[in-house]
Amino acid sequence: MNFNDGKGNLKDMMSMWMNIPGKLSEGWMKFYKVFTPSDFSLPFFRKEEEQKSLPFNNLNMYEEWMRMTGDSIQKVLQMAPSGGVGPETYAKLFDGMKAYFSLYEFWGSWQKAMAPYSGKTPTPDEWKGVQESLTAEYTKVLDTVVGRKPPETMEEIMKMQGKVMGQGIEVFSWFKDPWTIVMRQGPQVMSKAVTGDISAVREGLSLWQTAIADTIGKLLHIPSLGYSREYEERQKEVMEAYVKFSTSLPAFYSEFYQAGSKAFDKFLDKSKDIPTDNSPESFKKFYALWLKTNEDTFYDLFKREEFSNMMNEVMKRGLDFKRKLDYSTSKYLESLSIPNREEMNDVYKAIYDLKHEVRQLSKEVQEIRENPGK
Amino acid sequence: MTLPYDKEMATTMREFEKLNEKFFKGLENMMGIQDVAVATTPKEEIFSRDRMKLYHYLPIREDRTRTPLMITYALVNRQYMMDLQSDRSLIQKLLEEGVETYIIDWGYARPMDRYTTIEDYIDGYMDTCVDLIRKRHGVDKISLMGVCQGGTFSTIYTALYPEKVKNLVAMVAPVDFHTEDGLLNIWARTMDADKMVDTLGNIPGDFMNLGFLMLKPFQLVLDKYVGFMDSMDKKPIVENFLRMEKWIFDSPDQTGEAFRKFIKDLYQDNKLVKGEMEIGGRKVNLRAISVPVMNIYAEQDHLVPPACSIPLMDHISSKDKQMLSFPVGHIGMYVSSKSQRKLGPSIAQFLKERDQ
Repeated sequence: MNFNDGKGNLKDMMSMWMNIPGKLSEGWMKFYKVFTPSDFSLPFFRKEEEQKSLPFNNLNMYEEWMRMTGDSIQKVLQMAPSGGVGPETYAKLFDGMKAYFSLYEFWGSWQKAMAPYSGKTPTPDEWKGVQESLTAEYTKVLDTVVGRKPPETMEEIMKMQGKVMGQGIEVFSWFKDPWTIVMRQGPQVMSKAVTGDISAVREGLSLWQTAIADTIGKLLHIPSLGYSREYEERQKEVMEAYVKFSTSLPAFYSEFYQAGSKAFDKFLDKSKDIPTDNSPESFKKFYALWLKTNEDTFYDLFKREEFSNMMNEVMKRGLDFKRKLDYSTSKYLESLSIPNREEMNDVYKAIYDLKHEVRQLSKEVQEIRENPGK
Repeated sequence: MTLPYDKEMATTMREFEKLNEKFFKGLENMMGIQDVAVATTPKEEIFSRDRMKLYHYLPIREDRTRTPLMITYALVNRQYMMDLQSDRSLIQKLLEEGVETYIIDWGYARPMDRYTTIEDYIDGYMDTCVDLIRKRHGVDKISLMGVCQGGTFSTIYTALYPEKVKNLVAMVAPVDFHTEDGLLNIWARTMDADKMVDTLGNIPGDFMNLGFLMLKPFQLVLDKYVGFMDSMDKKPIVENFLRMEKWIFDSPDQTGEAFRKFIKDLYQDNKLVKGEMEIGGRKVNLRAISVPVMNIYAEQDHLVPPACSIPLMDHISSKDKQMLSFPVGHIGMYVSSKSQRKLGPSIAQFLKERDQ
């Protein structure tokens, strides 16, 4: 089997594979240079107090290995011929493994934070400290599992609003009023949002949506004039539908983020009973608890009527956008000598009706043939 | 950190070695597999219309049931789950037991099929196939086995054409759609099916898959693969896993009009158990079902929860009816070793005892 090496050259699979262990060895050598101090004694033989000063311990050595192997295989995957159930499944497996690796990484932070309380109950203040330090660390896992955290999305939105407002004010003086409200309330909402307050995220998004509707929305409703009036109106409709769809997405995703944060709080509380040692068994327990807590919390979210409604709303807005875009595209195609979707649907319907009629008539003819006397 | 550092490190190194070996062996196994063989039990195509094909499985025993069995699968995913691999094949089991077996393959809907309705599936394709099999075997009635949505179709067919059906086997078949136990049931209630069909025509299979993955996101997108990593160095296990993956992501588009009616009449209005469902202008009365019925459900089914399947027994007038359940999920019903040992023989026994 041949792979494209990314430069248009075909290389056979075996030589590519032979290359990987070589690259891995290089990685290991670099790794050991850092890992092995000048006296050349391997860390396995060092005393516990000595190993604390080492740049790597056995936990992050495992992480490094995961990363190294993962990177090498990802490179091979990128060059592999696409398609086929094997390569496709391997790609899915690797996507899934990203979350697994980030959880594994987080396990190290969790062990460090929890180890002092092994066998004893932390005071409420101590526990608060543990929660705070780990919540910050856990955002990496959440980002891998449910996407970027809403406050980051909020930051981008806030940046964008500045641009939109600036451009709008240059042309229309009334443009600034709705954005002034956002600017006044925005920083307050943002400061709450960055601490993980999801209701603040929603509040911020709602402020932003209102400002969009009162500014860009109004612009899109200004009547068009002249020869290209129809075309412009259709374009505005498509743009408006897109704005409505895209502004509904952050609020929908924030639900996932909120569920992920909630699951983490529950998980952390339950994780007190898991041993903080470095054994594979402890990680298995840690992973199993994390998985179950998340699955249960997300199930609770998905079961809520509000979630169904929100999902339906996002879907409707997406469909509205697609319908308007399809219509606009089909109008474009009218001037060309190719059939558009609407015309094809008419043909499909006609064929469907004709088939029905032919089948019904064939059935009747068959019955007459079989029972000629009747 | 209870173990001495050196021992702990040595254990970790051994873990690395093992994992490394697995990764590369797994890579070798998977990258070399472009496709996996499924549905290998020999069969002959005896009829086709539009996308649909009717297959007859070649018998492996002389003494067979007089009444043939026609299996109808769901429009979602493909019927080869019944014959995924030779050692996990419900079809193979039925043939070994001497059941004369046919199966409908719905094929892949194309854009031009968007107007195909539930009526076309039940009054059209299914009825034509039933007549053909009846004629082929010189019998008035045949047995039906419907799986998942195909179970709903087979139940409706039996209610509409009781004179053509000898026995009905409903397997993980939704009948009562108003339950709080299943996420699909909850989500479908607010779904704007009209807008979806009017905009998209056929409903993309990928959209359906996304919905199915969301039912258990952590298990289906992450844990499934984590569990598989442990065995990815073993080629036979990899092949089995890939067969399942192929099936899961082999999702035909749903024909628009059939989707619209299935969501609105069943998931939203629950018309079948209310006696309000109409097919081609005729009311579907479940009480018209008086034939022997076997209702099979999966106890941990997250797609068609038991609460959707069990009520069938309360709405039919059959005296001869029995339920069978397995402690598995929706997919485990077809492939788990627990159900494989018992499922085929139980169905065959039910049919054989009611063959005359």
